[in-house]
Amino acid sequence: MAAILQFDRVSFAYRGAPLFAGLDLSVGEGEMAAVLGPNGSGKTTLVRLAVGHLEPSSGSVTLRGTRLADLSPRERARTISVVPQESRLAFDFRVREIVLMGRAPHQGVLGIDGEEDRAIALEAMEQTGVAHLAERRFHELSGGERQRVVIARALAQRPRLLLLDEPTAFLDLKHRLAVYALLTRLNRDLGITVVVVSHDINLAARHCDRVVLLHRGAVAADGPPDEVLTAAHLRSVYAVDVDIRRDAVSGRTYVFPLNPTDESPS
Amino acid sequence: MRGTGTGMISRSKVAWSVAVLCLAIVTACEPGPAVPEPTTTPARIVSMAPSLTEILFALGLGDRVVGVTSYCDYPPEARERAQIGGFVNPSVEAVLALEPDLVIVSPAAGNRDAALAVRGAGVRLEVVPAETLDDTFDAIRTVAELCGVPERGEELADSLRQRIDLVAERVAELPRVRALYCIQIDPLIAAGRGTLPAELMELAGGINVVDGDRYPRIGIESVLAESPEIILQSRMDASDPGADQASIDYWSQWTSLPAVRDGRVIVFDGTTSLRAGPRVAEAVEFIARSLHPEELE
Amino acid sequence: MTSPVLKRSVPVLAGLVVVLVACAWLSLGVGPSGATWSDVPDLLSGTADPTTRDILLRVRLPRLILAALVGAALSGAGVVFQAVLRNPLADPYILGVSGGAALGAVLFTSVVGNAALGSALGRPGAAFGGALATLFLLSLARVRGHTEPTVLLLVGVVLNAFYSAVILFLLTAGDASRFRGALFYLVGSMASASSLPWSVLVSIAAFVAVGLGLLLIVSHRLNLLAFGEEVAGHLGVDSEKTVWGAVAGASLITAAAVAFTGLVGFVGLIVPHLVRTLAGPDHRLLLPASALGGASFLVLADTVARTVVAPGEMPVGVVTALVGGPFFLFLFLKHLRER
Repeated sequence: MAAILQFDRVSFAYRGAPLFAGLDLSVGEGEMAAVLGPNGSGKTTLVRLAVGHLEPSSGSVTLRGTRLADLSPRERARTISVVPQESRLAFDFRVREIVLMGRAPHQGVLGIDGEEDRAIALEAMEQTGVAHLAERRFHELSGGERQRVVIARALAQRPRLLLLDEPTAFLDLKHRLAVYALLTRLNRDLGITVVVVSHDINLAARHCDRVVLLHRGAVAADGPPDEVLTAAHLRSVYAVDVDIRRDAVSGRTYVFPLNPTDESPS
Repeated sequence: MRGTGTGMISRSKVAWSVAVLCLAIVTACEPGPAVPEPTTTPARIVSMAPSLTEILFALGLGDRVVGVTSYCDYPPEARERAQIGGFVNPSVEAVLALEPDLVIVSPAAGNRDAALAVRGAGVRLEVVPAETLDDTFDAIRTVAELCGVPERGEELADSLRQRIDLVAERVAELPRVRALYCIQIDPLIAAGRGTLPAELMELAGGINVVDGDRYPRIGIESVLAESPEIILQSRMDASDPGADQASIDYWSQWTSLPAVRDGRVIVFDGTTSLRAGPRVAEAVEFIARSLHPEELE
Repeated sequence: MTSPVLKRSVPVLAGLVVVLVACAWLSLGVGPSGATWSDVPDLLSGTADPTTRDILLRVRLPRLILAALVGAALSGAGVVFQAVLRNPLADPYILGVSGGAALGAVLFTSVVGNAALGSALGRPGAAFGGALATLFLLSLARVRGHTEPTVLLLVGVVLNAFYSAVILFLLTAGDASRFRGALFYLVGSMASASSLPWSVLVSIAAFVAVGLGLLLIVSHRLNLLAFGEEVAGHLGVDSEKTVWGAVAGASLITAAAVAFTGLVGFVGLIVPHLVRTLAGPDHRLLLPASALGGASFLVLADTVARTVVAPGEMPVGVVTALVGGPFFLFLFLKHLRER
């Protein structure tokens, strides 16, 4: 499996506070992977490094074999799209206009949309179930609807790799399930590589074939959910005692949190 | 013969005088610093207005003047006196440091606080309004009385009045001339009703084309529409030798103006007509000669 | 089928052009003197009297042209600053560019004086220089190759405060006539238009047109900035370059405008709002529409300013505030109620 995203000995520090030191990570094409870890483990930083918003102090990030630094923002945006944790929109754009923004990396400087752009945007809206909201304004939508619009925008970019940063953080139960179901569909039916950074351990385990567990800027465990989500791993990373059960839907590991351990969070 | 057009008593002057009056009452009632006995021959006089400075010198009291504003530039000897700051923002400290036995002030926006402070410090302060033409004669007489030379005041006031009356007589027969008195070009500010220059201009046989009060900032379109036959431009910057030509250049572009066509844009020292002082007669004579160059000498 | 944005834009912009032409025509025929539209045929045939000629061709026409240019520049710049700062309360003066221009102008007036024609290009030159210097100072907001809108805003606020202090000092320290000149500059007026050579007006027009054209090119990227610089980056936009290019362009056309007319307020704040309420937030339409709307607005405002208190003249900034303020409030409340 070819690597679509690769971190080679990446080091990064936030103003003197070191985070990553020689991190190696490789995401294969077509994978659906979850990146888990407590706050401060570097999950969001990982996304920012993957997208080129931050530059590693040493090492390199490559996208389909080319170093990020050698790609222009447009070239990069044609391969990766990102769904951020929350979206704050300064002006009153309509859903249709927002999804069309996803076509920008493929368009000219004025972004005049052609028929193909509009068709792709419509398809993205249908895939995320927001086509009926096309003329509504972003501010009128619920949190779940907004998140799906943003996913539609990311899809309109026709990415090979979709990065999501805690996409279900502000969603209710029903919408959390819907988002993960959608991601699975996109991965299976369209072959899009999906990397989800998440706090939602169990949904991630249910849908993802691979879990990367981060702890203080290093990979604590990396592999199938059943192998990574063990009581021992979770205790050392989250400082919480857990009970490992079976997920009734997927048959995979289901983590049931018990108590925080007496140790201070490591 | 009284001058035509009684000057409008400006509201600020009334408010100012009321304020000073109130303070006078208050200081009289309260035990404050002892007000010195008014002397009939003050020897250390501070003038807080250019017009009053000119009056003092014209009355031959120049050697008793110890302090003047930075705008008091006439007569030349006045410039040698100690300066107490601007006309609008004088320095109370500077006034008091001169230890005057008489301070005279003409009300203007901005010098009220300074004047009240001077009086509050126990110095004899007399308010002598000097804005309109009538003010000029009153001010001359008042200052002369305050300084113990009332007969000189009468003489000066009478001679000025005579000169002005003479001019008014001579122009009574002549056709009136449409005139514009311009204070400043950028922005364009002219003398309107109720100002000293307008009063003098009308005495000299002119019709003021500016249909506004005080010193309005006017639009050039209104000037063009009024077609003044003569433009009296007050010299804006005495220190800048190019300023006169710049003013003429400005007006020269408006070729539709009769004043420009006939070459009657006159840049001159505006202080004679902007100060209610002893040179008002000179101003009226100058303006009359400008308005009627052939008829008058 | 053509793009929906183009389909909407053409009639809106065409309509605004018609409105502008109508306002210009109105302005040409209205004034404190008797000159009016019926004099235009005489003007064209060369039989008009000199006074009417001067009034129509050398007072009203240059003024309405300058008002249109300044209105377009300030409104266009307002749109851009609101987009870059993601703040609907931003106006072209918020980053201190106009403060720098004002300081340049006041310094010039204080030092050189009020000589009328000599400063026809001197003061605008000094104002423009002040604005450029400010743009340079603003670049200090760039930290490690990254610019936060909040930091940019803060630097602008500090600059404005500093400029105000220095200007006030210069005003009180100078003499009365220079004070008046500087004060009327600060408050904004089209009066200088009547003394400007046509070559200067053409230069201003070219400058503003090119500036607005360049800003139009980045208008799509301004849309993408609406979710923030990071998201714009996700969509392939070089946010730093876009932000600084937009800020520089908007600052330069603001500087060109205020250099000649002083700080005309409210136009750059109200017009983008009004137009956004009517035409939507897409900057590809919003920018040219605001420019056209702003041009019409200021032409009308100047017509009022030079006519209503004849023979006097009101500063045009008073008119824009008195008219624009309440109208904006009304529209905003109406919009809120509809939501």
